[in-house]
Amino acid sequence: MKKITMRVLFIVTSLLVLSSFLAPARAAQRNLSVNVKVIKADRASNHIDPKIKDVVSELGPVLNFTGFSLLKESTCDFSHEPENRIGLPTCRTLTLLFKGFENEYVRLRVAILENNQEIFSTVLLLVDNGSVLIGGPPYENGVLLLRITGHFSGA
Amino acid sequence: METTCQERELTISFYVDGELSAAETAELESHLAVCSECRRVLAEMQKMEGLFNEARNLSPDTGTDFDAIWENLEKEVDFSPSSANLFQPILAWFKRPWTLVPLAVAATAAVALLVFNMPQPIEKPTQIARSRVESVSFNQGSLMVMQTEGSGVPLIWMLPASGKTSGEVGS
Repeated sequence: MKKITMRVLFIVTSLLVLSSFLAPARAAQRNLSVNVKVIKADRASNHIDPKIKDVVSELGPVLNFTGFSLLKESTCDFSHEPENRIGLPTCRTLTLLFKGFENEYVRLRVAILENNQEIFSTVLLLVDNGSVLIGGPPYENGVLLLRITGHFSGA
Repeated sequence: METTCQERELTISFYVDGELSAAETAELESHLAVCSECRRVLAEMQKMEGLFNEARNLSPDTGTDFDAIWENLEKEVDFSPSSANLFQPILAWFKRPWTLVPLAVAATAAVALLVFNMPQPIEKPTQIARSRVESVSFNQGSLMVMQTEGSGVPLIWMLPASGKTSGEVGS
């Protein structure tokens, strides 16, 4: 075979190999991780946990609470399993079910279980780095607040 | 006619023009003595030379210096064998269609690679997307769905039914 033909075949092979490396990169799936902050809000104290100052600045004008403390923070990764569970104070469980991406949103089903019975559920459409706050259940001398934030990664 | 005789045609031409050295002339003449074909070629060339000389003498433009024209042409155009060989292999390669197949495949692959890996235009939403609440249910009381003032973060507020005490989440 002529040298020039060999060279052309080499170039073709190189291009195909290169494209095989680039194709999976393009087709990479978007991944979701969800950060959950479990917060106690009350009117009995003026202490504001420095870790949740951003949450307090959002809630201040809406809710008439003076004390905020971070009880728990968890980050769930949905790359392997579509469902994650987080334990809440007073023996409740928070379940997060990843239902897929839809354009710039991710659909996430959030539920609170009590004795394996669902008492609250919602379907959220989260944008990247977007949050939703869920609050109201009484806890000790205040209420519980959940701040659920989604973070996207990948293509 | 032998191959060596074929190669001698140019030498014979130079011989007719009187451009051979003495040694070359002697060598050619000794060959002409034994080769009738070369003698025939020589005779034809001499006949042609005679016709050219006649035409030159008949031409009104006898002052044309063809040697000078040829020298100028040689200055402008490189007739050396090396320049002729430069493009010869490339032209010969294109004359054989089957060798174009790998080239066509390579070109197609390159175009496909460019098209498929070209950065796609990002469709920007017409307005800033915010997180939303699609649906919500609470079976132990009522609900309020609000938004925070500054960043517009959705806020779902559960209002448990009366009689609930602190520490009894939704129970």
